[in-house]
Amino acid sequence: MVQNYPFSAIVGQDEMKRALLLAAIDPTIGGILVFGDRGTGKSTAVRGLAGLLPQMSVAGDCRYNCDPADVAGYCNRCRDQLAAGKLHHRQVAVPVIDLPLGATEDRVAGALDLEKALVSGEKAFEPGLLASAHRGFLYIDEVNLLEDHLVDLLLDVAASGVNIVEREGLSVRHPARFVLVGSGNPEEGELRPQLLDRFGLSVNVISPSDVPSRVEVVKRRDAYDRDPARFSQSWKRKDGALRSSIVKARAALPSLETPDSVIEFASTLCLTLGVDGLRGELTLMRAARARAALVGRQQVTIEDMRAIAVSALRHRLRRDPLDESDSGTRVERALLEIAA
Amino acid sequence: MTVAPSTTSVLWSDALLAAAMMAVDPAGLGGIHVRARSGPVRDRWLELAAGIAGRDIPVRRIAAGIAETRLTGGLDLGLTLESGRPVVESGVLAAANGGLVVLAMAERVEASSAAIIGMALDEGAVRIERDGLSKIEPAQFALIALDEGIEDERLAPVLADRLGLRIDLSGVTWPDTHGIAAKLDIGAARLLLPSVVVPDSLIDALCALALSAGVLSMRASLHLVRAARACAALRGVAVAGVEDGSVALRVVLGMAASVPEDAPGPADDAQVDEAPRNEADKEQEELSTEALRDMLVEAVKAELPKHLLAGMETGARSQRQGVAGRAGALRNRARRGRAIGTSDKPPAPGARLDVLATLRNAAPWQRIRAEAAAVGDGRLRKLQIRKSDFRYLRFQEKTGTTAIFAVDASGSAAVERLAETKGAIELLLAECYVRRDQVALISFRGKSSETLLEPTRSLVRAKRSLSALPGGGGTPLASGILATLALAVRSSQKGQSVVAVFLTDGRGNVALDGGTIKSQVLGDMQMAAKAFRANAIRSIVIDTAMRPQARAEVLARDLGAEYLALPRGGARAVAYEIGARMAPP
Repeated sequence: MVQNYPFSAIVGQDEMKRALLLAAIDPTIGGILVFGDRGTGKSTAVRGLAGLLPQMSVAGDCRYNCDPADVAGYCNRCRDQLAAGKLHHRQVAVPVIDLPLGATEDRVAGALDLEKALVSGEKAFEPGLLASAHRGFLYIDEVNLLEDHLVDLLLDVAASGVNIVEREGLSVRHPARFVLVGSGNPEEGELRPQLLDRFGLSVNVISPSDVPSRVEVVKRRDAYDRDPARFSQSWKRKDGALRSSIVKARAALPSLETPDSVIEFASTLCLTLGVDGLRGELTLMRAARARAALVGRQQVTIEDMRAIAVSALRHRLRRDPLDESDSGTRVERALLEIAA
Repeated sequence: MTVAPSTTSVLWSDALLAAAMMAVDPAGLGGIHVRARSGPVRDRWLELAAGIAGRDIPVRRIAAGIAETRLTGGLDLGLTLESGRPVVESGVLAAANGGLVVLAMAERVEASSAAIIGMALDEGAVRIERDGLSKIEPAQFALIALDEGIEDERLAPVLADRLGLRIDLSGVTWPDTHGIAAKLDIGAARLLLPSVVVPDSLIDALCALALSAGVLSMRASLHLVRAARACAALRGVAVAGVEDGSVALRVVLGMAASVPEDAPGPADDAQVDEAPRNEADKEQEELSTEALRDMLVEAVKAELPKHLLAGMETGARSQRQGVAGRAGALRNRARRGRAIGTSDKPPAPGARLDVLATLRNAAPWQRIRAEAAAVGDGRLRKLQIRKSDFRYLRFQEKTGTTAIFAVDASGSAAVERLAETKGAIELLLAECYVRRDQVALISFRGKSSETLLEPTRSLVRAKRSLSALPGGGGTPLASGILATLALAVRSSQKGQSVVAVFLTDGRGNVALDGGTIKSQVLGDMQMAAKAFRANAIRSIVIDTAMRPQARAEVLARDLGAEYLALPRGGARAVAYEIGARMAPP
C-alpha cells in the first residue's frame, strides 16, 4: 500500500528490534510480545520487519504457502498440480499478516466461500488469515483486547501448528505455523497466562526519556512523512545490511556449537527464578543461538544468554502480586546472583 | 464587531484555529479532542469546524455504542440477498474517507472500538476481515472526539494519544462565539504546508518542553511539530517561528497536559530550571535552544488563562463528591453482549436471526432447490431459503464483575486497613484477569470521599494508583456510601455486575456537609443507605473493628448487604471472600 517506515531507521528500542530479528532468524523461538507505552513504534517495527525479510519460496500460487522443501506436506491442490507437472515455484515476500480487532472467526480460521456457494452452489473452502500467515508472521495490535474466542482459537493453532476447520459441512485441515507477534499497552488489561506462555520473547518498550533521542525520533518521522520514498531510499543500505545478516545467521545456525556450560547456565537460571516447564529453557537456548548467529560467532556463549535472558523469561515468572518489583528486574537480579 | 480579547475568547479563537490546523494537515494531526458539554457553544464550534474543513467533504457522525461491523464494514445483506453474491458494505470509517468522523459521547466508547478507530487513524485505511470478506478500504479521515466526560470518565487513551489537538470549550460563553474569527485561507495553507520548514532549534525546544511538562508520549512531540508547521502554513510563512511553536503548545499540550494523576506535576518555574540538565552535551546549541524555550514558555504563559495554567501545573482533578442522582437513567440498555456463535434453534423467544450463517447454510442447496422449485410452483427466486436453514445469534452478556471497595480510611487504624485493602485488590486482580473482572477503590475520610482507583483490570494501573494512600481524620460514612452508589450505577450501566465491599466499623461521625452534628450525621447516613438499598446492589460489609459490634451489622442491614466480621483478616482473607462472591454463579 504505502512505503513502510524502514526498520533500521527506528531510534533506540534495541530490545524490541533484536527480538524481532531473532525470531526472523529462528521462527521456532516462538512469538514475540511487545508491551509498553503508546507511540513507541511497536506497529512501525513489525511493518518495517516485513520489508526486511528475505523472500521465501512457495509452491505455485498456493494459498496455504506450501513449502517446496516439504513435498510431503503439500496441500491437495499442490499435489494435483505437481502430479500434472504444472507446479512452478515462486519467490514471494514473507507474509506479515494483520489480524485486526473486529475480525470474525470465519475470516481467521477460514470458512465456506460464500460467493462460490451462492453463485455456483459449489462447496469450497475460503482460507483465512491463519493460512495466509503460514511460514510468516501474524501480527495482532492491541492483543489484550482480542476477543476470548479468537484467543482460544489462536492458542490451539499456535500449539499444534495445524488449523482444523469443522463448520458448515466443511472439514479442512492445513498447516499454520507462524510467528505470533502481539503488541499492546498494559493499561488496557493483562494478558491471559495461557496466551502469555505462547510467546517466546517478551519485550517492554518505554518512551525515550532523553531529549536528544526524542528529537531524533521526531526529525526522522517528520522526514519520512514529508517524502517516504526518499527517506526509505536513504535507509536502504542499512536495511540491506540487516537483511544479509539475517540470511547469514540462518545459514550459520545449524552448525553452531553449544557448550555444556551454556546449557547448564540456562538450567541454573530457570531454577533460580522458579520458572517451571521446559519452555523457558528451550527459548533461552534458541534465542541465545540465534543471537550468536546474528553477531557471527561459531559458538554460543554465556554472554549471548545473558543478553536475551530478560526477554525470554520476564513473562514466565510466577507472579507475586505483593512483590512490587518488575519481573524484568527479578530476572536481572537472578543473573547477578549467578555471576556472584 | 470586535471583541476585546478576554481569556475565554482566546479559548474560542484557539478552538477555531485548531479546526483550521486540522483542515490543513488532517493526516498529520489526526483530529481534535473536544472537551465540552453538549450545548449551543459546542454545536456552533462543530458547525464552524466542518465549514472550515470544507463544504463538500463527507462528515459521518457516530456514537460511542456503535457496533464493530458498522465501523469496519461488512456484508451488505440487502444487496447480497438481491444479487445472490456477496456485496461489501463500507463501514462509517471508510465512508468518511477524505472527510471527518465526529464521535459523540467519546468518553464512553469501548476499548475495542476505540482501538479499531485508532488503527484506521494510523493507517488511513480499514481492514475488513469479517463475514467471509477480506478487504482493505481507504479511510483517511480526521476525528473529532466529543468528550463530555465528567469527573473521572475520560477518552480512551488509544484515541487521546492519536488526536493531535485538544480544545476545551467548557469555559467559552455564548457571546464569545460571536467574535469575528480571522479569515483563514485553508487552500493556500495546504499548498504551502509541505514546504514549510520547522527549524531544528524549534523542534529541540518543543521536544524538551513536552518532556519537562511530563508528557512522555512520542506522538505528542510529533504533533507539536506538525501543529507548528500547520500554524505557519496558515500564516503564510515559509519558516515556523516562536509564535507557531507557542500556538502548538497551546492546542496540542497546553490545555490538555495529560499529566498522569499521580505524576509529580512540575511547577512552571521548575520546567525551565530542570530541562537544561538533559542537554549538557550540546554546548554549542544550548544557548539558542535555551533562549528559544524560554521565549516559548513566556509566549504560552502570556496567552494561557490562569486557571488552565494551574491545571497544567498540578494535573489536579476536581474532587467533587459523588452524587447519586442518576439512578433513574439506569436500565435503558439491558440487552448488551457479544455474539458468541449461532444455534439452529432460537435460544430465546425473539432471538435475532444470523442472516449470514443462514445464508451459508442455505448456499450449498441453491442449485438443487432451484431445480426443484422450477418443477414445483414455477416461481423463480434468486435465493431459496428454507426454515431449516435458519440460524440464530447467541449472545453472551458480559459476565464481568466490578468489585468496588469502599474503605473507611479514618482514624488511627487507617494505615493498616488500607494496606490490607490494597493487598486484597492486587491479589484479586492478579487472580481474576482470566475473567473480565475489575476492581475500583473509594476511600472516605476527613470530610468527604474520594475515588482513588477507577474500575480497572490493570494491575499496573492499580499499583500506580494505590502506591500512596492517605489515612486519618473523621468518618464521612454517608458520603462514602453515596460515592460507592454512584460508581456502582455507572459500572452497571456499562454492563458490569457489581459487588460493593465496605470495609468499615460502621461508626460514621461526619455528615454530608462536613459537619459533625449527631442528628445530621445519622439522618444523612440513613438517607444514603436507603438510596443504596433501593438500587439493590450486591454488597458486603466487612467489619474491621477489633471487637465486632452491632454498628456495622446495623449498617449492613440498612444497606441490604451481607455482613462479615474479619477483624484481623489480612489481605488474603479479604481477597478470598470477595473472590468467591465475584465468580459467576
